[in-house]
Amino acid sequence: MKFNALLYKEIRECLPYVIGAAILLIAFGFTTVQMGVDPDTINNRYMAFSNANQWGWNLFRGYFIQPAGVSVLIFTIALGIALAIHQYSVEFFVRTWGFLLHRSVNRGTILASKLLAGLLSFVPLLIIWGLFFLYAHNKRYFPIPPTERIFMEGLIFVAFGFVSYLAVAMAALNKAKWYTTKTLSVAFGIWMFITLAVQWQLFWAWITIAVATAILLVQIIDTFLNREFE
Amino acid sequence: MKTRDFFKYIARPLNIFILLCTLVFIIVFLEAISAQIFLSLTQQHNSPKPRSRQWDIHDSGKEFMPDGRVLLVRDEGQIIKIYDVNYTKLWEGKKTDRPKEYKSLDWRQSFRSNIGWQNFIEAQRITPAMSKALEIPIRQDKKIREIWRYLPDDDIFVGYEFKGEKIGYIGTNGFSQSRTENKPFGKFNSLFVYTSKDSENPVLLWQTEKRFFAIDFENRKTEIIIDGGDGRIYGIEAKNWSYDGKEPVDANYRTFVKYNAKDGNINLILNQPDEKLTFKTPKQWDDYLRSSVGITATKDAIFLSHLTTGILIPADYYKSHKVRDKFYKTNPFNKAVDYSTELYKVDKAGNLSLVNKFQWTKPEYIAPAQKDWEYYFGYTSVVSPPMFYVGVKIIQNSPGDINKILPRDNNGMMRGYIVLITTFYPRKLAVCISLSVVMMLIALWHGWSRKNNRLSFALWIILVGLFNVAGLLTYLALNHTTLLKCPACGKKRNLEQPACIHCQAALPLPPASMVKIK
Repeated sequence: MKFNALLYKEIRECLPYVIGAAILLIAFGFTTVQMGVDPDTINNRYMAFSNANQWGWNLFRGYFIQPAGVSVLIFTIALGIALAIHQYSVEFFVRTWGFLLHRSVNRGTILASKLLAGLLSFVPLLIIWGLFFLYAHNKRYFPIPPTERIFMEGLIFVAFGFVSYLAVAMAALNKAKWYTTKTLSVAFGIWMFITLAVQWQLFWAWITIAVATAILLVQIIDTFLNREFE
Repeated sequence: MKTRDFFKYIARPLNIFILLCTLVFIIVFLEAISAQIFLSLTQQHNSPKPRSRQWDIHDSGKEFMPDGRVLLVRDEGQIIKIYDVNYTKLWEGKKTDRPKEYKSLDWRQSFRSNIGWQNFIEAQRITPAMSKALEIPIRQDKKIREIWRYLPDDDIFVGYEFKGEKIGYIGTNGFSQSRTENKPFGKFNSLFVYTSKDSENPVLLWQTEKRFFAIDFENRKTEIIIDGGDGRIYGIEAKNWSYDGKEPVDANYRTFVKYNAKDGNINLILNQPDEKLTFKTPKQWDDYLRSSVGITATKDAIFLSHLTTGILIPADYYKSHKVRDKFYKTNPFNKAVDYSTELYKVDKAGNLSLVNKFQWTKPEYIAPAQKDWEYYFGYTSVVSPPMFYVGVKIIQNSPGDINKILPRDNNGMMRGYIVLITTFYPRKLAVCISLSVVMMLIALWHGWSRKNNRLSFALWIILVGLFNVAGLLTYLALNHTTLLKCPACGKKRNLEQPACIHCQAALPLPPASMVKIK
């Protein structure tokens, strides 16, 4: 029950960020996708074949819902950063850690409620991505439907949003002050992002996400359970 | 074991690993940037090559006429100059005005671009802009009628009508309504795109490891042009190509496809009239560096040109990087080099008969010594981890080929890390090791009074030695603590350690004081 109460509190606090990210994702994603399915744009898209000089890399084209996928990546990372700052940094800034830790629950429960609320915050964005994917099967607007792989790539983007959340949370919790150590987890997050961007097989992309999540979670749990909060 | 201890034991090594990797990346990046800055500040322009008749001949294109005569051609943009073998000018003018009597044999390939398997991998990368698809539009009356998309996982094309209705699949068997009825093409190698004169729609010439297909989406059919059986096919060239083989682009030439087979034979599949020809080039051609072969077929004869240097390839050149390094250190192309180009006719039985031969010598030329990025990186790389040097030696001396260990199906990440090690390894090992020893001494000096555990401290010193500056920075970041003088033994001790490592005394407590309670 205490865990549920903490979880509701965290979700309630995360909600404005989630709603904001969802509205922005719908607005940007929908607008950019609609621009891509304009008949003139579609015609230009396949013009490469009418000019032999353009053969080559131009034969490969992004999917019609690619702009929505880009929006998903941007807004999940932004949401991850915003949530982590709100849940961890702001507590230091307004000095409320003491009140939170003073409850009759152990630190593990508090951290679990924060992490679970953070994870659940990404579910609405995942649903919106799913709706975009279904919308892309509408023959009235889209000449051909996207493949299942594209849906999985969007899923990976949402998962990376959670990795960015963990990276910023770790940076907020880390009390080290020496050169790179405070923001080390952010550097690690960027490293994982680059690693993810060179993957071309979904399996290795998921492995990258899993490794990054595991490493950051271990660091966060260790720091949270052992550090002193003022 | 308590939960918090469990996480502590895992978190600490992970923390070291992440910090070390991050610092190594930053340091090698700074090394490369520094070398580039030094290079930019000191770069000089090469003085022009000396001019002489020998150089003029070397720099000219050598072109064979159908009768075997050799022309030396200097291409100067819009203008070309044509000389005979004695470098006497025969003609000068615009390219488009070139007289018929100076029109040499055409060796050009028909296809203007091709896509390799690297492009396929690049297209499938999960970048922020998501992966891309190979999509072939089929038009009718200037409007898109169908779109065919390649499915990499199934290795087959799926077709849609422009408004989303699925048409079917195109694979090895040609067109089929269902995916299961068709067979995938096989391991992709390269792709040429061709549009015939009669149609605005493209035909894909699709090369796999063992076969070469023509995929005609407009007519929904697949034709196997080359079937290598069990053997690999490579070196595919297509000349004067027309998809249906009836209308060659240049009426003076025959259409054909050339490929090399596993047994080393060169195979030609010719049209007008249909003919298949298999032959071998002399084995001794393979003994020379930069030996290249071109083939063309006119209505009257099949010609083969061979260009080579007089430089013999050393034994084990293709097997050992050491042999190659040693060979190129002698700068073989700075010396005077003999070149030779020959024209052969290929008869119906595949025999080669020499038509003409032209030989010339490139004069010796040693460019003024120019300091390059590698020169400066030799100095900046002394801060690289000595471990990288060990890594390079392991990679260089491993019996297996890296392309076999990490084939194209593997993800590019491991290859990226190997490139990182082989690019940024320390060039001056003695200086690098000396610097590492200095780093170890600094760590030893810093940690002597702060150590909590002798084994852990020894491991840290070894790590600093292996990773040089990155190792020292990692050590300092994770081990720096405040020191205080032990009130019991008077020696310096770590403030974060409850017991003094020298005398086991506890940390001093603040003096007790009386508190008045009102």
